[in-house]
Amino acid sequence: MRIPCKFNVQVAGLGYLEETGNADIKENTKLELPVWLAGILSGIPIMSEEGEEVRLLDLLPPDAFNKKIINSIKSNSVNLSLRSVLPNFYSLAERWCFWFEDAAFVEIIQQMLKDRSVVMNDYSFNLNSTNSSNNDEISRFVHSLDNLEKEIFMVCVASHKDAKQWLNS
Amino acid sequence: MTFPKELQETFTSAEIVYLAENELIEVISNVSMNDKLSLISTELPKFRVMSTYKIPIWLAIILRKQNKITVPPPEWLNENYLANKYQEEVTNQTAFTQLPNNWLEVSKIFLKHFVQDLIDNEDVLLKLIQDLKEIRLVKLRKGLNNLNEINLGFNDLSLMEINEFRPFISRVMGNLAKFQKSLENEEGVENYDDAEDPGDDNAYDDDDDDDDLDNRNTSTGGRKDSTMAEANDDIDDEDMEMEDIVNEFEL
Repeated sequence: MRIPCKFNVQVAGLGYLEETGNADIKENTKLELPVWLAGILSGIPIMSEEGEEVRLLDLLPPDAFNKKIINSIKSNSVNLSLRSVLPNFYSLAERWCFWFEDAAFVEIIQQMLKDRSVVMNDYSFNLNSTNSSNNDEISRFVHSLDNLEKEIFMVCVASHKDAKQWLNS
Repeated sequence: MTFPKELQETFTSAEIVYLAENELIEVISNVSMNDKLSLISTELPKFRVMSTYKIPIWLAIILRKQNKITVPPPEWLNENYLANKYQEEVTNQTAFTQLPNNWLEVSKIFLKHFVQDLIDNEDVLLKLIQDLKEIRLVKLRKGLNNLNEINLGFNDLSLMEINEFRPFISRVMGNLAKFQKSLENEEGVENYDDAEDPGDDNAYDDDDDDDDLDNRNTSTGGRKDSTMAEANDDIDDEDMEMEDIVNEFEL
């Protein structure tokens, strides 16, 4: 997964990251870097020519965290197709929270996870019911789950299935 | 460990029944024995006809099959009591009623192995038990709206019922806690390498299995308060009184 970043200083010999053929990366170049690389590079402090300490690069908010999506999470997180936004939404969000310690953002994400997991749990009960209209709804919801939610949903289904089987045995 | 992941983090229903079978129950012997019988894990007392003894359920199942004993149902396993409990459950929307820690398992065992000794009609009992479980499940699902990353308390919920929700709840709470933790990292970006890998699914801390196990071992069939899930190791919820948790957890 790549996230956008902006270089604050000119770096010699890193041009290959940009894939433009230049030898160096110029100041203010915007570039998409893999998350792991961006995280490490953004932590490197550099002394600029004016004697100020700047970071080698700044992390820019990725598309998945733009205002429109955050607003739709706030208004109705359950109907949002998180998977089409980003299949690893929570993983990236957690990195992001880790880097920026944005309490408001954390709260939004947590609330979304809570709301969606309650619905996940409800749906996991009647996954095998024959009611077809309900099944459409469930499959639409399942397709909107991101990877983390999908895993939670799977364990949820498994445990309810086990309990049900035992009770009816 | 080579144990499958889903078996590591929780019990299966069958395992809980196995644990419940160690519970002692009262039985009435139909035969007399010359001497007591020493078994590896327990001791069968010297039986006399028409006297009551307390033996583990697993042993009672074997002896009942050979018609050597009759097993009177526990005082809570009858139509009247369960119907009352059901009413209580319906009227009291904010809490679960008190039932034995292993009521589901034990009643299931009774309906399977000791059917002849039941006083009430087995079908009626089965229906009552299923109704009770259903209504408690509905309450539990309502209560899930109050999920948070620190703690969650369910009073008077049996091990079987908790077990059904444990993998789900511990995962959700673990992930909520992960987000909370990312805020507490004061060093910011510099500390990046020390942090947990967010891709690691096992990063959350699930130590509640042991608590529940303790509950079972110390239980003598009475009611037990079961606490579930402590997901954040930074926040110590041991100090928290049960009352506080209950208040926080309004259904």
